[in-house]
Order: sequence, then C-alpha cells, then structure tokens
Amino acid sequence: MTHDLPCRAVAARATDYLEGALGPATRVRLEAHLAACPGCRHFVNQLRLTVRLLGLLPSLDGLDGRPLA
Amino acid sequence: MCGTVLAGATAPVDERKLVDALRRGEADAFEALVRSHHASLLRLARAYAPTVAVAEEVVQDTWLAAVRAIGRFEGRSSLRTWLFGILVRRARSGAAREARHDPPAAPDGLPAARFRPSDDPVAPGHWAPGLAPRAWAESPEQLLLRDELRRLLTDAIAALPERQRAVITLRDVEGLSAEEARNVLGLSETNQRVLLHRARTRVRAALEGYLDPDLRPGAGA
Repeated sequence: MTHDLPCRAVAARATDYLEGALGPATRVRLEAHLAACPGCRHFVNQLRLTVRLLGLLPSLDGLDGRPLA
Repeated sequence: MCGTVLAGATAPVDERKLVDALRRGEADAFEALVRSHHASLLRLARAYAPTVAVAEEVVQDTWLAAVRAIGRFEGRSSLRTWLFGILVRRARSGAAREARHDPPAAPDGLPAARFRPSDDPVAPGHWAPGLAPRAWAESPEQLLLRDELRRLLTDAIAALPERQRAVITLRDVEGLSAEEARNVLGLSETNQRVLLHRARTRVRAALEGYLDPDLRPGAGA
C-alpha cells in the first residue's frame, strides 16, 4: 500500500497509460504501482476489457445493420 | 487498437476506385458505399439523436450531403472518416441536436468515495477499504452473447454526455485512431483523451455493477 503514486492518480491516468501518452518516468512509476496493487491492476485490465467489448458491438448488430439500442 | 478488424473498414485501393465511380454517379457504387458504412453512421448518429428514427434521418441527410460533396473528397482521410465528419456537422446543426433530451448524466466512473481521502493517515489516495476493483466473474466475451450485456453497454453509452458519447463511439466502437477521432470531432489531443477517459470509466463502472461477483444483481449480498 505504500507506493509513491496513489491509486487515485493511477486510476485517473489509466487512459493516458493505455493510449501511450505518459512520459517515460510516470509510466515506470505507474507500472511499478500496478505490479504491487491488485485493485489498480483489475481497474486497468477492466478498462482494456471495456474497450475490447465495445469493439465487438458492431459485429453483434442485428442482421439488418441496425444498432440494438 | 482493438476493434479495427471490423466490418466497414475499406481497403484504400478499392476506395479510390469507389470514389471515381461515385464521381461518375454510378448507382452501384453508391449502393456499395451505403452497404459498407450505413451501420457505422447509424451508430454514430445515435450519439447525437434522441431516437433511432431521428438518427436514421441524420444518416439520410449525411448520404445526400456526401453525394453532393464527393467531388471535393480529396482522399486525405478514409471515406469512412470523411463520412463521419459530414455526419457530425449535420447532426450538430440539425434538428437532432434540439430534440435530444439527455437523461441526467451517469455518475462519475471514479467517484471520490472509492478512495481514501488525501489526509488519510494510512494510505492517502489509495482505494478505500473494500472498494478496490475486484476480478470479474465470467469471461465477458461469452457474456456478450447475451442481449443483456449488449444492452448494458449500449445503455451505458447512451447515458454519457454528448461529447463523451461521440468520442467513445468513434474510438472504441468504430475503432478509429485518436487522430482520426480528433479530426472528425475537432478536438485537441488532450481533450480527446480526457473525454475518452471519462467515457471509458463510466462504461467500466456500468460493467462492474454487472460483473463484480458481489455487486451483481441477484448476488444476494
């Protein structure tokens, strides 16, 4: 629990991380935090999964091409 | 990024031929264009329009504008991105904009209450006890086969503020690059990422309510 980057900062920058928009020093600190913090690891992996699931939506649209919603 | 291997991506070489045919006014070419991109345009139109019917009008309007403007298409973007740009301009200026009454925005995907306060003596800014994200129950790809989860995702997008809705639709549903999405929506690099982050964390939170073993409806907690 004693990382120098708090979970709140990791969660707030998770998209920057996934987008490759963090500077190298911050990326290293964030990855060190992820290695030690299961909660943040779940959070980042769940964001990745969210992106993946959203990307599958078009292939699941109705056969007439209409969105489900 | 994920989601790029989806229907609607057109090979550039075919695209140039298609554009030439469109400029010659060939009906077959227009039909092919509609077949390839109609569903994507409709999904994006849903980010702006209050109902599927209005979204369909926006898409029809986009097709008419595209036919008129095809002579000016310079091929600097893909046809798909170009069509998205036309749609966004039509949707922003048209009736869809006035007609949409947004529901109250979904709660922030990362509420402050999930974290210990900044002056916490033990671990400031870390996940509050019992509120750290946990592993999710099942393989969500399997779950997607259920209408329920698909509905949850589309509802979660529908509950986002308009700009977040547009960004996440273009980036994560349609698989556009950050640069393409920025060009279509006229956003700065930072702004695009901030909107994407807010949108993704909110959709993640909606999934969490469904997939976290303890939060799940019917978990009996």
